[in-house]
Amino acid sequence: MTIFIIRRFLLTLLMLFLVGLTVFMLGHLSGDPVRLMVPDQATEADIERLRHALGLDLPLPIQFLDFIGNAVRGDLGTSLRYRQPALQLVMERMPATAELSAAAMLIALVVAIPAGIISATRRGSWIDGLTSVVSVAGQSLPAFWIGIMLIIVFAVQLRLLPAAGRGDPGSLVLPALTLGLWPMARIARVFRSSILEVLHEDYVRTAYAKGLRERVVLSRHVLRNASIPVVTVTALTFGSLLGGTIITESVFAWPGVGRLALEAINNRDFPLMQATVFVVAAIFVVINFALDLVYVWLDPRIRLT
Amino acid sequence: MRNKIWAIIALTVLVAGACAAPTTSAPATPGPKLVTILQSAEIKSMDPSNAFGSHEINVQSQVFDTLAAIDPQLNQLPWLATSWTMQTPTSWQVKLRTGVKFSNGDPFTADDVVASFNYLTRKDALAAPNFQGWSSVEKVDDNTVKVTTKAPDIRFFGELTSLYVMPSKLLSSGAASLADKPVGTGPFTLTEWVKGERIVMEANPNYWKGKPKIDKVTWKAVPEASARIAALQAGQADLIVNVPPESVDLINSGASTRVDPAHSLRNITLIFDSRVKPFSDVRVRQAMNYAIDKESIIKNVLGGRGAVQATTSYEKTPNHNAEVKPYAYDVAKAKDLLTQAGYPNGFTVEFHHPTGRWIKDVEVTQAIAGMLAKVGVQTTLSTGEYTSFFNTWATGAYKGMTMIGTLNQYDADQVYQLFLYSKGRWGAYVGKDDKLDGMYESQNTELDAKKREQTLHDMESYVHDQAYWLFLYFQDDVYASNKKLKWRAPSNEKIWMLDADLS
Repeated sequence: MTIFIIRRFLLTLLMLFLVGLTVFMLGHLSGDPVRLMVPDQATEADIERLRHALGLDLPLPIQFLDFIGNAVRGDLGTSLRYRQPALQLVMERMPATAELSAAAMLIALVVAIPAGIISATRRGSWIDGLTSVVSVAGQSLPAFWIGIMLIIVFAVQLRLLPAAGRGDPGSLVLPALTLGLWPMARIARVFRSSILEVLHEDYVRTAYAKGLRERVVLSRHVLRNASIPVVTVTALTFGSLLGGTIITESVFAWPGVGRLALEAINNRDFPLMQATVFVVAAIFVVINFALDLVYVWLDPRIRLT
Repeated sequence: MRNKIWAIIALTVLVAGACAAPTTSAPATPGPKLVTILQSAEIKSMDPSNAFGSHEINVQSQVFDTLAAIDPQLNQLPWLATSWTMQTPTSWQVKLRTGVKFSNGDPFTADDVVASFNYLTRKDALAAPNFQGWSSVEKVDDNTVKVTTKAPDIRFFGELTSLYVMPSKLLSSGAASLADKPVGTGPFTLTEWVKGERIVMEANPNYWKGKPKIDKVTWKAVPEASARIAALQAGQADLIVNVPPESVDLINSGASTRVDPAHSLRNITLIFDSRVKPFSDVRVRQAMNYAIDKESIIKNVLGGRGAVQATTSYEKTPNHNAEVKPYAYDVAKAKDLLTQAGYPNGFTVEFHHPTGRWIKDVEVTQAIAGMLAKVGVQTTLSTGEYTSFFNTWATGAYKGMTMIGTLNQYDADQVYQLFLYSKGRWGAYVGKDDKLDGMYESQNTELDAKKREQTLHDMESYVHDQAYWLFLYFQDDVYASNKKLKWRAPSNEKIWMLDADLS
């Protein structure tokens, strides 16, 4: 177990290094931020002066080594636009994104788990049909479109909820619903097929043969075994939700990390781009690690191997 | 089992219902006048020395005043400076307004102007290039400063409009705090800033032009146009920016909403690479101008919102030459000119343009490509995301022609300085034109306003005839607002709230 954790940790470091290198290279290949920052009247001399002041005139390998050296010490650089520490900016936005992702996941689970159970145990019923339709829609409709539709219905027509922004009561509902629809659909489908698979296992037939009631068979034998893929999907989806927030946060003007990342890219704010990707990558790694531990708890066979 | 399932469903519905409980909307009582403005990008700093883009300048200039100002109708006005007179060709005396106070109570004096100039021109300040012509600002007495310029400075007014005044005491003790807690002499004072969510400012009761009628202005950033429109329709916003042409009718048909367009100073133009064939031939450049139906583009692509461009500056830009008329749409003439130039069957040329930068830029590009095809000119379209597109263009590397949007504000010579003077920042594309360079240089140091105006008129008509650009149009800036809001839609992308009102 200790060796497993150490290996995991080293792999994580390597991955973060590679993520850093990729983001750094892609960022610097994509254009020069200084030309965009200066007013029209600026001369080439002005541009050079500013580039020097911001340290962007150093050779790329040196800039990268500086970046890595500082990152090791917990300093992810200073945002070119905000002129504030990049890590601090990302952490300031993290609560908004965490709140949105958690609410989205809550909505997804609250709907998807019962829907998955019902549609698997009552195959062919109207609830099963409805679940399928909603799942397909939820996975195929773009979040962008759903968000705008929800705004038009709930904010413009019914005037029940705020159209955009954070802070007003109720402002979380529409963005969380938009963001939650995709994981909702995905989890419901996975849970349904996972339950169906387990229902055909020998031990389930045995349980029924013993004369156990359906409720007992489901709760003791089926659901626990069927939940492993669901845990995987939920955890991984949670990681990618952080990516999905880019669109949702833009549509709803939600002040989170996703929108910060998008602005950083548009502005070629390299330190801020790197800091956002770093933090999100780190969260992803932690989730994966936690996932491994949950597997062990759910499935004793993994503990033994 | 069945009961349990229904219980879960009931619980789900209950939770969802509780989440969706309606928010209480305030009753319409005659209380303080509150205005919420939605822009498309976030404010990063309130420090005017690092302002980037009109959305930041909009917010900052509610709090800070400049020495001179340009109003939404482009009138040039004295502001914290009451007069400026040239004493020698390189030295000016600027008289300052008296009795003005900063929001922290400090009186406004010459010390603040000197300190602000030094702060705005420090080496890593984004605003520094706005003061190309000035070398120093010195205090003469409490209400007078002396400005020394590097050479005779015909753009003196422009520099006055860039000089945001900050309190000298704060600049010397802790300028960094300006980014979060701005202190200015402006019509509003910042009272709350929840980063990423909203900036709230209240009317400055001691404003030197009198207290604004609006009591409180809230600024938010909503990047999606459709979300901004929805918020306006839902009554959650009073003023929004950048309304796309396809939403104009929807907003105008609303009971409480209205579209407020303004001709903008931003001219959308195609800049030829006149250094090499085929655009080194003036007849080819003219033919291209005749081949494009500008009226049709404005009507059919831009929803009728725009003004055809005749020459380099906008009709209200000082020193604009109103005698110059736009190129007519004349396919026969275009073909004739191409034949004379030795291209009876046209040619193929690169056409670079950004996507999503200017209103309907891609659609306009396609319309132009279609019109050019009618005179035998085939275009190879090259689309770029704005940042990389612009960075490449700025190095002078693009061949053929490029779509560029220029902004000229306080004088007709600005676009020459940037785009048409061969030693200007992006002047390379013109190639070598000694006559134009000569005219530019002579007006650049001409202190006689009449003579200078004449030279600029000559330049505008010369560039029109030489057709260094494919002159297209000035795009409209389209705002939308609550019908109760009284304000002036600006031509210079600058939102004024100091004289706005809510009925």
